[in-house]
Amino acid sequence: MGSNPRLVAKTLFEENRVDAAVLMPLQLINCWTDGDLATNLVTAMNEFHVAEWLPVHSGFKLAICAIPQDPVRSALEIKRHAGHRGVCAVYLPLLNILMGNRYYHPIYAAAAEAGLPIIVHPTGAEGNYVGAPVIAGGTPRSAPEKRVGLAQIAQANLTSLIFEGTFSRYSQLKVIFAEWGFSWVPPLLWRMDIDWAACRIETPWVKMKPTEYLARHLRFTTSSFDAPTDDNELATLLRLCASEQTMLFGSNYPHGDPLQADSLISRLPASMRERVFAENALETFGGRI
Amino acid sequence: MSKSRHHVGSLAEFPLHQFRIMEIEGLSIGIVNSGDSVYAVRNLCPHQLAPLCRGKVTGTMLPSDPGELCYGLHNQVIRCPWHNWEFRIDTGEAVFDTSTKRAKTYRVDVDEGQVYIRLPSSTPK
Repeated sequence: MGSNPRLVAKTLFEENRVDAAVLMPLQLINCWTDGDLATNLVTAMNEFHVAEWLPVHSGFKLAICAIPQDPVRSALEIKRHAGHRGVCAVYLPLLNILMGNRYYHPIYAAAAEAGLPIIVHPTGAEGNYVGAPVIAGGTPRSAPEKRVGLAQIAQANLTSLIFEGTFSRYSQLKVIFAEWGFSWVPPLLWRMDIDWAACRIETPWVKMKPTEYLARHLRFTTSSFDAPTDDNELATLLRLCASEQTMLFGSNYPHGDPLQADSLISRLPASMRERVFAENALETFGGRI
Repeated sequence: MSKSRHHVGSLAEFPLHQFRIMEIEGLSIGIVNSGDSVYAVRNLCPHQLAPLCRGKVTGTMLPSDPGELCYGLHNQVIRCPWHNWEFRIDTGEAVFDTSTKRAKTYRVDVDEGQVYIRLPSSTPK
């Protein structure tokens, strides 16, 4: 998110005319083994961002960081900041424990109670460090292998969330998969629908087809664009992803041009732009932005 | 459309909750005595054409809250042997909206201890 709030504010709100920016402080704490150390850093970081960033510009909104090593402590941290004007989400650095696991329930319970969506985003630890999510098949050697493989982590976690009944248990919860791509979503859901039908007796709390959970509970960002170059194929993909409801503009600042002139943003159908740039965010963050 | 009535045996020849598969007018049909009634189901899974009635007559897990397992519909479900798709024996419907595809069922009459299946007269093979 950058290090100088005034510079970031100038870049986003003045030069690029963004109205609201969700700040996500990424830290590699998902590979730390010391939960107390992680707690100390995260709680201090949350306090710092509330005190030093939010007051700089009313357009700044903050994703409070959870402490993945301590879900119970995370719930307290969420409650501590949930009422603060400007706090709009919970950022959850992922461990190598799938998101549907009951391990995370205190975090989801606190977020759902506060009306805060969960955001997950690659931290850089994935595939590299013990404790962070692994990439399927083995350890990738090179950066492009790892970057391509990141989508597997989102796939596995999305599958877990649905089949473990997370959205039955927390019916108002939304999860934003930020910068994991989205082109993998439709075939994953087709596969889940088939296996849900065949294996339903193992997950009887999944009371509707997995595809039905997409627009109600899942969101994806425009950053990490992995869509086809043909515009007709892109339109089909966007439709299959229910992008009218599920896609959120993600600038990926400070990595690259916030408005990504040559990427997905410039190719969005005109009919979708208002949804992607504004309405879906207003709906997902429940008016907190 | 008129239906043709086929005598398939006496009720005593159909053990409880076990499909007997018969060929009637060139169709493979499973017939099962469920105690309160006798049902006939086409021995052809609408999913991928497996021999459905060679599957398991069973109950299934009812829709429930996360972490709960509630068994029900005992002996009212046929579970396909190939991919475990489940269908109601009485209606042929896939259980709990898992699919819009449906197993074909036929009307069964029990008359003075004898079992009759009614097929539509021009049933396609």
